[in-house]
Amino acid sequence: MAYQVKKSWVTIGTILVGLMIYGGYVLSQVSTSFSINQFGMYVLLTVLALIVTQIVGKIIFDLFNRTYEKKEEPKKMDELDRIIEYKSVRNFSFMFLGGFFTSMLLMWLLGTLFAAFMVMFFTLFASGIVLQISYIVYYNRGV
Amino acid sequence: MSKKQSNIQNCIRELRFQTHEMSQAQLSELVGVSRQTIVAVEKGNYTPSLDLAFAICEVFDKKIEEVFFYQKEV
Repeated sequence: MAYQVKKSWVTIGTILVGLMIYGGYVLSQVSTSFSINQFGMYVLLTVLALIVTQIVGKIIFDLFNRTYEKKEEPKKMDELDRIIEYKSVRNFSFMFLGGFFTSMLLMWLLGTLFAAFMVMFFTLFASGIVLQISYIVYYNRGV
Repeated sequence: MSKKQSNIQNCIRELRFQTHEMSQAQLSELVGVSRQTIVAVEKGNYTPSLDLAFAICEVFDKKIEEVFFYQKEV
């Protein structure tokens, strides 16, 4: 299994764990009637939580990789890595855009912030997972 | 998961064996890409850029049409 594929599996694991821990915390804090300020605050906190999960995932993977596999991270990206990254980020962006517009549509149709927030919240995590799954698929299937 | 096959096929594997049984890692070092990329090119999962294709041909001292050829999917 390629270095990048293993890294993506570990990152998916940490994103899911992060989603469970942080999602549980958010759901315990918010109620169906929350303000626009809370909306903004929790969306920003979600982005922060995602960044933290990615960093934790990278640290765990590097520790595992150096200890058991005795391999170091590839020093440079070649053309295949670059194409795969472009395509994966494209998929991530499509997922994020879809979620963002769905969230805005719900806010417009239902007139409540809660539904829009929930869609936005899960979209952020789902986009992260789509990014990693794209890496795995492109490295295994080819581009 | 079905593999994506390119119409551009190659005989890099055969050429490697004819060139002192060169390993994928050695070839990847000579052309400046990762072993993963050489694996993908050999399997036909990735069509290399012209830069990389010419670099591979230079290693084997062959013309590009002797290494890469077009094979239309049936």
